[in-house]
Amino acid sequence: MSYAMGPDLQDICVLIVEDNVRNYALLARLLSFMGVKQTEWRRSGWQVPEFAHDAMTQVDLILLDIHLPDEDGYEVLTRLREDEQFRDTRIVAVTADITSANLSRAQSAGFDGFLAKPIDVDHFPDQIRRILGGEVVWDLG
Amino acid sequence: MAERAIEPTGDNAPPQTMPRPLPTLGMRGGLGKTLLIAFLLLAIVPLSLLAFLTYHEIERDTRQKLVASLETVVVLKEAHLIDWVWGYERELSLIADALDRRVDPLAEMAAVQAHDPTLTGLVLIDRDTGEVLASTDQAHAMPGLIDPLLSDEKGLVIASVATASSEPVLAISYPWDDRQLIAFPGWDALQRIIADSEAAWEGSTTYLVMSDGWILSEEGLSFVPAGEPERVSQGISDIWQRKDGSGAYDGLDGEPVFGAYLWNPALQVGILAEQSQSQALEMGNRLTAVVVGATLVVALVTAAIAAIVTRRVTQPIVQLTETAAWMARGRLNQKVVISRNDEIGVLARAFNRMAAELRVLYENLEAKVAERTIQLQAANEQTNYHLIQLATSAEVARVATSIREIDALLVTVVQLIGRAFELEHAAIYLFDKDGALVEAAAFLEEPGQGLRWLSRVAEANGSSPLGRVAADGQRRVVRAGEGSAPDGDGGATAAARPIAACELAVPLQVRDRILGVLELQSSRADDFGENEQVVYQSLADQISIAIENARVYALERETVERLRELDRLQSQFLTNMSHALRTPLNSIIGFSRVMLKELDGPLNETQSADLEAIYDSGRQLLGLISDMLELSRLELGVAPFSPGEVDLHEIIEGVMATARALARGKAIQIYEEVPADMPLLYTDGQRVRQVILALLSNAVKYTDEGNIYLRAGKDDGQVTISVRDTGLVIRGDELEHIFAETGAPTPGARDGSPGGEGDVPSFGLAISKRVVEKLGGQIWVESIEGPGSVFTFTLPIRPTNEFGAD
Repeated sequence: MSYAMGPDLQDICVLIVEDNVRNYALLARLLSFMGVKQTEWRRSGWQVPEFAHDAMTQVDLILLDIHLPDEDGYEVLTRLREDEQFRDTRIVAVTADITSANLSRAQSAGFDGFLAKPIDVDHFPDQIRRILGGEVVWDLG
Repeated sequence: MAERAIEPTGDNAPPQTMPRPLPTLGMRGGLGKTLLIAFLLLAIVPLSLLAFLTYHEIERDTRQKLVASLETVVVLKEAHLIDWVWGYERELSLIADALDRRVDPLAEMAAVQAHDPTLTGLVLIDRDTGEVLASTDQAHAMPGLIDPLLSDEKGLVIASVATASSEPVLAISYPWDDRQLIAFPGWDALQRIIADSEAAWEGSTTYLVMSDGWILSEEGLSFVPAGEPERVSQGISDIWQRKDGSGAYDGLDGEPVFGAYLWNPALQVGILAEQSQSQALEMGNRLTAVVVGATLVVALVTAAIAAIVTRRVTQPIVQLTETAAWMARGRLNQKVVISRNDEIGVLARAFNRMAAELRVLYENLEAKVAERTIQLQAANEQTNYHLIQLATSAEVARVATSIREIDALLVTVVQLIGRAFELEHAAIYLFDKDGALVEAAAFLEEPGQGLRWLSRVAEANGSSPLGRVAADGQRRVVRAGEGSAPDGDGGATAAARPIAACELAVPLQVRDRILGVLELQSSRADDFGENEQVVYQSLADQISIAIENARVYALERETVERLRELDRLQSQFLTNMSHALRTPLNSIIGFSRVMLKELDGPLNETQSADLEAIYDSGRQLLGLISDMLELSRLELGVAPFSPGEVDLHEIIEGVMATARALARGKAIQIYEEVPADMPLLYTDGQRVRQVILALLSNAVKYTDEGNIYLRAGKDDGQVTISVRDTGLVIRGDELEHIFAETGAPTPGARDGSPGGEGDVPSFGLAISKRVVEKLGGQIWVESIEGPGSVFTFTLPIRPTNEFGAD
């Protein structure tokens, strides 16, 4: 599981919803090492549909922070799932809150995965590939 | 009460409820009837029998007598007849003598006939020639008449001769020598003999029966053809057959008769005497009637006497019985009025005496019962009052312990007291924060009158009774009319006060501290006596304690709430801090790892080592943050537990793999010794795994080379799991702090352990201790001979209480 660039990830579009710029930077870097060319950053969930509409682009993966200003990750997820465009989009929770209460809430909310912060750099490429392959990945750090 | 109880037996008092009628009729119909029937049977049956026998005897006797008499009559008549005939014969012989002396026969005959008017004719005939020699009556001198009369025998001849009348001719012939003298007596003479009743029984009829069918009776001649015996009676028929006899049979006219008869062969006639049976027995019947009548009279007289006697005997008994029956129904004022000196009189007097004694006894009893009833009622009322007191007291106590909320408590208590003691008004006044007495709760008998009490709040703080009770802690009673010593309040307030008969104000105090006043008003003028005051005082004391308890409880609850809020805030703070710390650690760990993986480009050795230090420290810090969060949650009791069936083999298998991975790079052998028959536990498998892993990590951490043993075993109701290492020795003074929540101290003997981690406190053991205790087990550490130590913990197979709950 390395950061070897494969052609398979070149054309996917990953959207990162994260209020902390350094956390976005780390994720974007890791994704770019994997060969992902299109990585978008939004600070809040409200900007996700806007982006999708403006860019006329299909979003393949959303890495969604739970702890967000104004609207938390769960509310964003609920709203996105109601949107036809994001009903089947892979959406993964990325959070520093790894309490079991939060984990079970994420499971029942309908996330396709759960990545704990700090991000496990060693396993990240494998986890992302598995998520894109349709698996549901729960990493508790 | 006494009078009322006795009343039903009073003289003029009718029975309250009329019961079914007394059995007096039954009495009369019983004893009286029996006696009457016995009397009548004894009197009438023998009399009737006697009468019947008498009648029977009389009839038989009459019959015999009658028949005998008739037989006598018949014989007498025969004798008369013979005598009559013989008279004529003698007369005729005298004529014959005269004729022999050559007397003129005709003159002689005429003289005789003139002398004897019964003779209708006298004829002298020559027997040889049949010539009529002389005749006094030409009618008899006809040859047709004379011829059948020619006879050489003397005697009566009755011959059917064709004369002017068809009647037979009665003739008496006297033959002598060659002549024959024939006399023709009239039937009248014979009829007189027949009808002569001198010798006959009264009412009897006599018949002369000729053999050729002519019958002479007192009514004259009649003819019955002799060839038809069925047309005649038994007597006539027997006579025709030349038989004598007597008996009872049907006469010529069909009427039953007694008859006697005989046949005289010399005269060739039968004599029959008959007597009508009805006539003959009439006398007997009269006699029978007399006997029956006499019997009936005797029976009636007997019945009357029997009735009188029976009544005389049964009436007092019936009276006694009725009286006894009334007495049995509780009407004891009964007296039997029987003024007799016989046994019944004695019985009646004895009965009256008994009734009188019974009445006296009963009246005494009634009086006693009434007296006892009054006493019992008084005692009952007293008991009831005590019961109400006790019940109210108990209820107040129950309310005091069950209701923590002070306002609800007071409202409940005043209502309880107001209703239980039927008061007009009950209220509790308490001092507020500013020291003013205010109404805290009130009970009103009629809720609509609540406005009347508004003035009381102001009044309470004046020098009113309430205010004074609140000031000096002495209870007071104010009664209507006595005046409430209005002091400074003036008449206006007093006039506005509601009218109640009396008022009681009881201080509410705990020890010397006065909390307020319990104020009660009653419409009963005699309420709030000294005894009742004591009761209300004890209620007031209970209420005071309840108020105090409720206040303490409220305070405690407030404190607990505050502490709970603090805990919640602390937990929230820790969660927030953990999150806040993890965010920068994400960058530290993430980017240092990126660099170490040379994703950003190749590193030299020194750079690599430095980055390694940053990365490891970041990881360590992350672990510490996690442990602190975990520990604080365990302390606060908010750490989640999820119990279930747990197989220890599975857990140990998984843990061993992780432990061996941890020990990689060290010369350590890890052994497990777990019996195959370990029972399933009901516990939280993840937590057990966490503890075993912490102990193994600890062992690996402080052991550079050697062996680590993981052992499990079960004993009574629990399993024991121990981890033994051959690592550094723990000093005795460190043993007691090793599970402390401040983190395990760096063991002195373990100083200088590799990895640079020895100087960092570990929370693993502290967390393990709390987890094990939460799971219902115990954990401890022992130093052993030689290097190393043993960490042991137990787990109950079935915990007695559900853990995971706060």
